[in-house]
Amino acid sequence: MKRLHKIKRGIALPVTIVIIWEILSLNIGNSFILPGWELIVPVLIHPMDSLFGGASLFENGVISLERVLIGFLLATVIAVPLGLLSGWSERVDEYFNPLIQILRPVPPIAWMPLAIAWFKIGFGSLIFIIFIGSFFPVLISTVEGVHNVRIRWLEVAESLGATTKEKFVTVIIPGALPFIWTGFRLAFGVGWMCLVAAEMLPGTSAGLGYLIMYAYNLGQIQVIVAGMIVIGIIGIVSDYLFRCGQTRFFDWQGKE
Amino acid sequence: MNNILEINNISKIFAENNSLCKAIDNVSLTLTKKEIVCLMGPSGCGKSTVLRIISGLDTADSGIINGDEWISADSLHTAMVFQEHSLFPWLSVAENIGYGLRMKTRFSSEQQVNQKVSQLLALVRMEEFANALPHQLSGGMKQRVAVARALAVEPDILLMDEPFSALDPFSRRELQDEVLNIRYHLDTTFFIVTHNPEEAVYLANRVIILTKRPATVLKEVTIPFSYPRNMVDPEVLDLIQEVTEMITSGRGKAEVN
Amino acid sequence: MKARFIPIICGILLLFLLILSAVPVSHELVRSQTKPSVTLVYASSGMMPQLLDTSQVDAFIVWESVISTSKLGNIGKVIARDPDFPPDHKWEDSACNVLVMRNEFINKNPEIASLLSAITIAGMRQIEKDPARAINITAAWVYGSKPIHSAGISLNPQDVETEAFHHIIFTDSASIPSISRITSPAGSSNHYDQNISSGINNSVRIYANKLLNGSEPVISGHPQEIKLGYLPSSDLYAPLYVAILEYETICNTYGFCLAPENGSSDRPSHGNLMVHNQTVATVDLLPGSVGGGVMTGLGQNVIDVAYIGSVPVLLQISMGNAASIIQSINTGGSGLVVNETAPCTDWKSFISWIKQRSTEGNPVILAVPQSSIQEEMMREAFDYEGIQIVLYGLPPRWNVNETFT
Repeated sequence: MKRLHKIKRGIALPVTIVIIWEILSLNIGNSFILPGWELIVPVLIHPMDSLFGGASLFENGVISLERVLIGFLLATVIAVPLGLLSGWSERVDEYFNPLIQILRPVPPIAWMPLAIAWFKIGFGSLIFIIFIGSFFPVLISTVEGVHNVRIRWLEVAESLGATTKEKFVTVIIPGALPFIWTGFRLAFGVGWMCLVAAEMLPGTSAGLGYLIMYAYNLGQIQVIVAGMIVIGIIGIVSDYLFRCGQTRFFDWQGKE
Repeated sequence: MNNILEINNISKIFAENNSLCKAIDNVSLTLTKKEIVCLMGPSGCGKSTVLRIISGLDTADSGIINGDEWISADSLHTAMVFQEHSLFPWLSVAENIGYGLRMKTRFSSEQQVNQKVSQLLALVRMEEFANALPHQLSGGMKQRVAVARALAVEPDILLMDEPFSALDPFSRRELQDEVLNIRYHLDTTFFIVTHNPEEAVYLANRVIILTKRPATVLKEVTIPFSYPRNMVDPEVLDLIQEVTEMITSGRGKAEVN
Repeated sequence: MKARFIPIICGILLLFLLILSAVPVSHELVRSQTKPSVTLVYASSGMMPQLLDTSQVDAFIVWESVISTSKLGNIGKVIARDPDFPPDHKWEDSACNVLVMRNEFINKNPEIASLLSAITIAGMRQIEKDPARAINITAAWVYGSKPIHSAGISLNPQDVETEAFHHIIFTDSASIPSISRITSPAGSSNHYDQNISSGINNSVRIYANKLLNGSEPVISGHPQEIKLGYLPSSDLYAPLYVAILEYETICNTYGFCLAPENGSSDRPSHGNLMVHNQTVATVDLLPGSVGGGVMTGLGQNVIDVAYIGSVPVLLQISMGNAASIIQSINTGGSGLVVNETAPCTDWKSFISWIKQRSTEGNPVILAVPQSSIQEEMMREAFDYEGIQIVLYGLPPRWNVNETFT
């Protein structure tokens, strides 16, 4: 019952917005400014239909998802070990920290022209942009996670005979994992946003960002809105999965 | 004799606010097998530092331990129980207890580990909670697990740093009885830092009292009563009073808590 | 230990990826692999020389002055221009760029619409009269006064524009091309023919010619603000540039002109529409990057008047964008560029090269600007030649050939 109420409250606002949207759209009567839901819904309920002679909504979503997963996995594979080392060893941190602080504020999209020159148009450069976008949240959360490992835990491990390597594997890594996981969650969101933005630039032929830009060039605002909805849904679902992981595996965090 | 630890004249200096500060000064003490010794003293006098030096987490600046010119205690076989928040929250109770046994230096097979863990779970009466995570336990249960985890590595000396001070009075007494029970079953020596004179008199064979900073041994009191001690016995109450006064006299006024 | 789930989750994600990439999609079932294929990649005009120079693409088709830049900079050779593309010289006299206005704007301000059209035609006449000056104006507008640096070369903008102007014909009467691939995309109604025929408004241009011949404009109401969209990276809008910077001559000749607000700027962003030294409207010159985007702006009522490519205009009008083509601006000005070492010299040998590379399993990669007349030219030409188009970077299962459905 409580859950039902929660859901009810959660959808109240979106439903209101949809209704207001529709009323406004009927009043404005210009689908370039505010396409009605009678135009948007058909796009959403035929996700397998080819759009503008290219991939369908579903296919564009899948290809974006594939790209973001690959870029994200690549970023985690590099950022987690680097973050663990950087958090663990001050010397490693001294080497990497200035570079990281310089590169971190650069919007990933600003890398696009260079990415195209280095990794070629299409797949390579997009993966690079997602990589850049996901890399820093994971790295910073990992370093944070290592710093938040209680010294007490390390002392216990040492007093029970753990070597340095064993302390790293059995205390630092599991102790930092909740933070790393939060980093994953952030990074996936950032990577997803970067991807959609990067796909809007020339040099791609599929993906939700591409679809939105193509639809913009063709004045098909209802397809843009449909694309935005799909982007939002994928965002919500992925975030939900990450949160499930958090409650499932890191229930202890903040309660110990 | 059965001395397992002899400390002679150890000192430790900390750098603090750009000046040097002597934390402990020429402390000497002896521990024998299967005895419970409490270390007492005014707050911040360096009790924990003594404990940490024995455990090997800290090093002394000078002094002799077990006959060697010695500043690190890595070779001693000790295990430490901390005040609180010491369990690994991502490991179950059984995994926490088995932690030390799974370290490389211990060479235990998985079967040996499991066997040992079952024994210890039984010893601290936590069998039902073997698979629980620490955050699902009460404070007293957590400390019981912490004690079991330290005992798992079969230390000669179990070092306890104010192990019961974060507990409510009921759980504290329960844990104190647990310690007495364990000592009855095992040969382990207990070296307990506490600031509770009643606790010291309830548990210890001997109480070592340190002065305020820089800490040096003020007095060693042997507790003559047999276990279990009757805490309303006037003689016992007198001794508690005496210990309390010895601690506070060093500072001129009564130590609260 | 609880850390074990991390590799498990990674494994699940990878498995998910594998499953996704194996999902059969409807197009796959109808697709045939028998035709030779060419790979199409969408790129912006400015990127193209770099892409060719770094061998990321084998050829590109784009508008002037990018073609002349590549030619003079020895980045590639131009092997075909508008008249060379099949079918049957279709694009020879087709309108490449057009002047387009919102219907509502035309209906509310017929006089101002005609004045803008007349000024555009006056700009064309001015180009004819003094081509050297027109080249200077255009070069400065598009590139500024500094040399062009592109892919390691340095060129004088005026040399580039001199070369480019050889291949562009500025005319207000080129025919509007018919776009074969337009059908109904999802969600829009299919009134293509109806929309297109009602999307060409000849009356504005007819009245504009009267104005040029001395007829007095009748301006009613207060001066208003006009939003004018165009693509500043292209020199094909030279009539607009010249009309603005030669406003004095035009005002003296016809009594009306579009005067820049800041007379010293090479690329002004505001202008005043003047009739007999009276401001009748102010004009904001809004630079866009793609014609389609500017056209969407018209649909959204944020742009009133635009100088853009004919294809995005036709595509959008066919889908219900309430705008009309007033006149053409130019014909010609597109070119197909390949690497100097490519084994082809004209369209025919280009097609042979495509076929050969396709059989070798290494299809030619061709860069095109998205939804441009150049993309349209290529789509129709490849359709005619029986060559299948594959979109770059897509798994083959997701490529739909030729048709726009």
